[in-house]
Amino acid sequence: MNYHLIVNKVTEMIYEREPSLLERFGNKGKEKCREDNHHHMKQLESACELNQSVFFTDYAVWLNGILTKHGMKTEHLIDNFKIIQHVLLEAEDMDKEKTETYRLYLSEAIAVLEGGQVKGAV
Amino acid sequence: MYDIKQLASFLLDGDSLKVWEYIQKNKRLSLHEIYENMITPAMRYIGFLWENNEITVADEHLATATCDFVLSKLGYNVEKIKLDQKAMFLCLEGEQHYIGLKMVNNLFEEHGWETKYFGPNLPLEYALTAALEWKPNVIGLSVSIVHYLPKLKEYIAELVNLPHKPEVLIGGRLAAKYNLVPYCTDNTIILTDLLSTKEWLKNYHMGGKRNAAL
Repeated sequence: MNYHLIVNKVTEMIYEREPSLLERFGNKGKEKCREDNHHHMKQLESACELNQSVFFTDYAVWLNGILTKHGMKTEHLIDNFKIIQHVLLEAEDMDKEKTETYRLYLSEAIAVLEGGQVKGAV
Repeated sequence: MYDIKQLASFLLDGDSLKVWEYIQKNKRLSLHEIYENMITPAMRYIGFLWENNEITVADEHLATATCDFVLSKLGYNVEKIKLDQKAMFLCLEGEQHYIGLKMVNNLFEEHGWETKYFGPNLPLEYALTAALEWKPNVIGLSVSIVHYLPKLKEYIAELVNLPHKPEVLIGGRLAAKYNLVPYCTDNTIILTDLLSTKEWLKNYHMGGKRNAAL
């Protein structure tokens, strides 16, 4: 599936909510943000296809480790995932069941990043 | 034990001569021991450095290329007793992590197998054509990134159904980290690490076959 529209919306929302990101990281940073969100969507798709949320939560934990070493905060990734959840609600061209699974997996990853317990992992 | 950080720094420098000399200091080690106790931990340490933003993607690529060269050299020097067994090895389409697969290929060669090593990113149609033509007894697949895992089922289903019915082995980082049984057929062999590969080879030569993951 092509996630171009979703990724663009998510990236724009991230930068609308935190305009300082553009000052700090420039257009190159915005492009990286877009790339990262393509990876998030691909990971969600694979985890969903394999019917195992752990593939996405493990990815989230691994990625968070890398991002924090690059000066980002865990909250940035959590906010990014919450924005994807929000945008997915409006994604009319996506199958509803799939959208719900993605949103569930994102919730589980957010819970893990927040230090909470994984709920309903398949 | 071995100075893994030292070995990693030679790899990161792209200094294959120093890597080779370092390995040769421990001449009594078997190929399996060199892979398991020296090269694998050094490459994992390099992965750790990248994750921690201490090295760049360019550094990691140079280390991988250097490691690849050293593996070729190690494999070339092995004395082989030829058996009438053939195995081919490949990474799933898109999968670029091939160092572990190359080590497994070398272990098979060391055990007398004739092998064909196809390396990273081999689409299924080409794997099928190669297997149909060459008729290997064993086909080894490697997958390390989750994104490529959904293709595994299709690869296995097609390969086990080839007319000569080869045995299909699965390895790679994901085989060690997750239970891949749901994506395999009943007769697929999952090899979780180099030691289980070595055991499988020993067992195969003794006439038995079993799933090293069970």
